[in-house]
Amino acid sequence: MSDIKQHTVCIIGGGMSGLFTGALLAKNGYKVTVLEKNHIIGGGLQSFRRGDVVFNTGMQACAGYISGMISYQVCKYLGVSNEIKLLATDSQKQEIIWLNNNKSICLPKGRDAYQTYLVQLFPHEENGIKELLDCVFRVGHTFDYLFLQPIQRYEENVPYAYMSADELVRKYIHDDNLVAILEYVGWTTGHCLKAMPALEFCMMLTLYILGSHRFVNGAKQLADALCNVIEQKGGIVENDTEICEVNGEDGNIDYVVATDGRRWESEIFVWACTPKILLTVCREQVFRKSMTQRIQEYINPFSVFVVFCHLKKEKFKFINSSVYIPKSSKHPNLPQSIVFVTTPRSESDQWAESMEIYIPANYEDLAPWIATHVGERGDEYEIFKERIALEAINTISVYYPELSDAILNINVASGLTIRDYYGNPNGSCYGQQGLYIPIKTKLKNLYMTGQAVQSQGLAGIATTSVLTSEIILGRTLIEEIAQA
Amino acid sequence: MTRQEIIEKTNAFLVDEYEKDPALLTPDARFREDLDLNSLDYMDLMVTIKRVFDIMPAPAEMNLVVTLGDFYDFIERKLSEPKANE
Repeated sequence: MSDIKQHTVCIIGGGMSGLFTGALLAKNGYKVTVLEKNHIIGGGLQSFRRGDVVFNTGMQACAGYISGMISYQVCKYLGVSNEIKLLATDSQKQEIIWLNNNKSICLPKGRDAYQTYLVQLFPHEENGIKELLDCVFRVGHTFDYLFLQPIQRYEENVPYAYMSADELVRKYIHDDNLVAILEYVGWTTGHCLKAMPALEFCMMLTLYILGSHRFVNGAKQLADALCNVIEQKGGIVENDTEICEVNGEDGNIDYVVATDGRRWESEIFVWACTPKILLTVCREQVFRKSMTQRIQEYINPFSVFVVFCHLKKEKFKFINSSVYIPKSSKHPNLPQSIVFVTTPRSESDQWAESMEIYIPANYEDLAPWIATHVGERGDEYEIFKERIALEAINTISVYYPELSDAILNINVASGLTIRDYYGNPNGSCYGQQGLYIPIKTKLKNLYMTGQAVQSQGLAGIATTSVLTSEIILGRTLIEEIAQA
Repeated sequence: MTRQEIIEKTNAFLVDEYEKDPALLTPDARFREDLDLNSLDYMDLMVTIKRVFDIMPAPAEMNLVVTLGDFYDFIERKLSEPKANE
């Protein structure tokens, strides 16, 4: 039994939520062990290099990283805000949405500018636009912790969690063209408006209108900075450690076991991965049956292909926006657009050297390879992915003709890559999120954190990490964080 | 579905899936105060209602449900309404 180590808190999952929660607990005196199944930490904060070019595999933009809001203040509290380099997205065109008639919509930052711009385009919807944005901001602001406020109003708008975003939008907006433009918000959670809870829509749109940032040279810098906080406080971050058993008895977790047989004991355990996986690795009953049922029945976000394009030097201008290109899909639950972003390499880039293209996909289209693993999917799979990638590049080239000649080489990830890397069911571009599951489970020393507790993105994860840490610590942190 | 069947199905899932004491399940039991079901629990309830009764209530409709008796009435009324695609 010499391989059993004693730790105070053991966090399963070294993605953004595991690292934020670990850093918060480490700063507050806990001995933290983070167990990450992949070779590299970070999850959605992952980025990789090809030569000196950086590609993001997950998070592209962080919305609401603003002084006075939770994600910024938590980073400041943890002492990492000066270590991460971010670039504010173009305030005049945070999102560029191309329409089929070759005209583009450029959505600006700021509530007034955003509203004025939409009213100029759709003057006959003036009242509806104003009322919709009033509702969006009112509901968005009831996520008290996002705005560093004590929890007072959160519960009152939970009913918006079981209304669809489409239903909310159509309550105020009647012009289908405007509804179609607002579909871009769905990309932030991997759902079409019809499948996206109105609550998520309000929160994400509020945050994006307040302003978004992009990581200069990749998102992994944040994962590394959080890891440093944990390690400087004596904690451990273990890579290549996939937990396959969560064992205990009498309503308590005693230890977890990795696929290679190693095991960890701890006073407290935090699950920072997809809840559905917890249900398969834990023999004890974690949630009451009704909640287990809801977790099982959760509609997964859509899957994507991601095309990582290495660009030739000084051939394609850096665009400081997310760009949406129309692309029709026959599937009713897929957005009718693809998205691309260029990753900033410095605060003053003129040219892009990398581009990531996101193409919505049906997981079922990957059926011939679903039982396969990385590196053994065969030539047909590579040909299939390349065809999807070339179609997308051709589609974007209609709007940006310089792209075709600017590409040096490409790598393509499919929903299978996402499934195997993140553990997201059905290769979803996001895992289970916005489930509003409780942080406390039926097991006395097992707690939940991450996007399933409330919401995703940097702001959502910072919020749930604070909430989970507060419950474990038995005291509030929000005032200290606000004053950091 | 008869009212008695609605009552039996509702009470069965409240005991089995929501771990409520059968003795508390009287028509005048209030969801919030007596059964300790808050609006976050309503998220589970919406899924359960869809699965057990094949009904998808609007949030505003659920806000009018205060007691278990209101809930039985609500389900009975919804089941008697013609479905949108019929």
